[in-house]
Amino acid sequence: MATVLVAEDDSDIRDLIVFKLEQAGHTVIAVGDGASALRLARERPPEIVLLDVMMPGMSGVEVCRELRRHPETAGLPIILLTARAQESDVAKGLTAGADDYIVKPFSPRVLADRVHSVLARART
Amino acid sequence: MSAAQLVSLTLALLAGAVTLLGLVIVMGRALHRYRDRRNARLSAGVRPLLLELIGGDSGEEVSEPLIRLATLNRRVWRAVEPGAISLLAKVSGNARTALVRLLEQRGLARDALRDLSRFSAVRRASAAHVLGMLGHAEAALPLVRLLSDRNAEVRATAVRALGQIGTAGAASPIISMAGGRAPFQLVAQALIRLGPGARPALVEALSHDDPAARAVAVEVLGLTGAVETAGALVGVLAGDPSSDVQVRAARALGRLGTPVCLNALIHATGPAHRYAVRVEAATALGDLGSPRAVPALRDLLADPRYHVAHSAARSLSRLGRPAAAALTETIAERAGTPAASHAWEALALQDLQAGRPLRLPEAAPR
Repeated sequence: MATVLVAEDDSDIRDLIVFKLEQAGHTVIAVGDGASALRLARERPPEIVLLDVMMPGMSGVEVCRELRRHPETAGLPIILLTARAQESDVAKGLTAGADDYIVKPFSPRVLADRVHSVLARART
Repeated sequence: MSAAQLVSLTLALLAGAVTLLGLVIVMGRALHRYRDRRNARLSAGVRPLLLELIGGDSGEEVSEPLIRLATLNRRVWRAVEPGAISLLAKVSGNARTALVRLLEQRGLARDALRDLSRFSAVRRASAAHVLGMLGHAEAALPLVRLLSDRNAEVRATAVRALGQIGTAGAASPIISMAGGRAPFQLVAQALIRLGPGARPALVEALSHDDPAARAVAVEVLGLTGAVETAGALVGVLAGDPSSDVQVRAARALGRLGTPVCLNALIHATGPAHRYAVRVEAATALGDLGSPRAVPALRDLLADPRYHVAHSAARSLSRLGRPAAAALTETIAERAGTPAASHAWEALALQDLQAGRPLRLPEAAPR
């Protein structure tokens, strides 16, 4: 089980992710914007980060890029949540260093499974 | 009564009316705020149950919250319902299935079906929206009837809802909405959501009297990769009376990319065709991606119509090495001509987009 940092501005989705990941045994820290996520990730690096792509202020892709730039957070596994299944968004996210992405609307079960598999990959 | 008394009385009545109106507004707002706070409090109490329902993995995990939510008293449910409906658009898989089951059990679909015939356009549109979100198949027929609603917003919502429900039989009525009865993009999106089942209706619409219906059919067939309809689209490109439809057909053939598409597009770049069609055909040859288009595109670099030559050059820059070689040769062999300028510009753009230094730093003279 792991500490998961979640950045998502939609409170419905944020609550659902927190519920599902806590149900799966993880410890979840949830914030509603990219800047807070970046600050928290630097202060107390989690084991995995879930970032919504479209957030007010800093986007998930920008946070991802910043995390990759700093040595202490460069190796964190990152999953992006995107509302648009556009190839360009996915490509942008992966170029910024994301390990995986989930397209909204999403299945909470699939999300928990993806977190599990990305964590397992990162730990090996 | 004197005139002065009449004026005083009128002013007093006006002041009274204004005060009363102000009181009504203030009380209305206060009541609204009170209701919002009460609803927020009520729904916050039930929210964990809702999360348990949509976050549950197995039937067992879901059944208890489902029963509890399905039997909530009306007052509490009314506070929870908007949140539950908004969640519908945010989840998929088992979570969505569980949520739909709950909302159906609470009678949401039944109420929405009834509301489709309300006097208020807002109520009719809301009902159509809810039925679409639920994917309620039984609502397809009433929603098709709603396509002839007097209100444009209601018609647009019905189109979207029919797409969400996905009944292929609704394709023809949806296609007929393209001619200004509903936004073109919305009609196209709804038809895309209907999937391959809508293709027979889309092919039939290629010979529709209304050019907008033909245009949307062409667009959707191209976007959904309906390769089996390439022959029919070639016919549209060759002979449709509307240049807009022909342009869309060229774009669709570029997306489909079969051999029959290649020949038809090369033919459509010829001078006998309309200018806009020739430009789009030259662009579509780049989308299609076949090196067999290189000789035809190379010839088009010398076309007297600016946009035809420009599009041909851009397409060549997307077709790999033999095409890049054709551009380089044109720059060398036709130096000083517009063909060389188009070729140089295309190569320069390609270099800039790739973030590398220009391979041919000297601009071809115009």
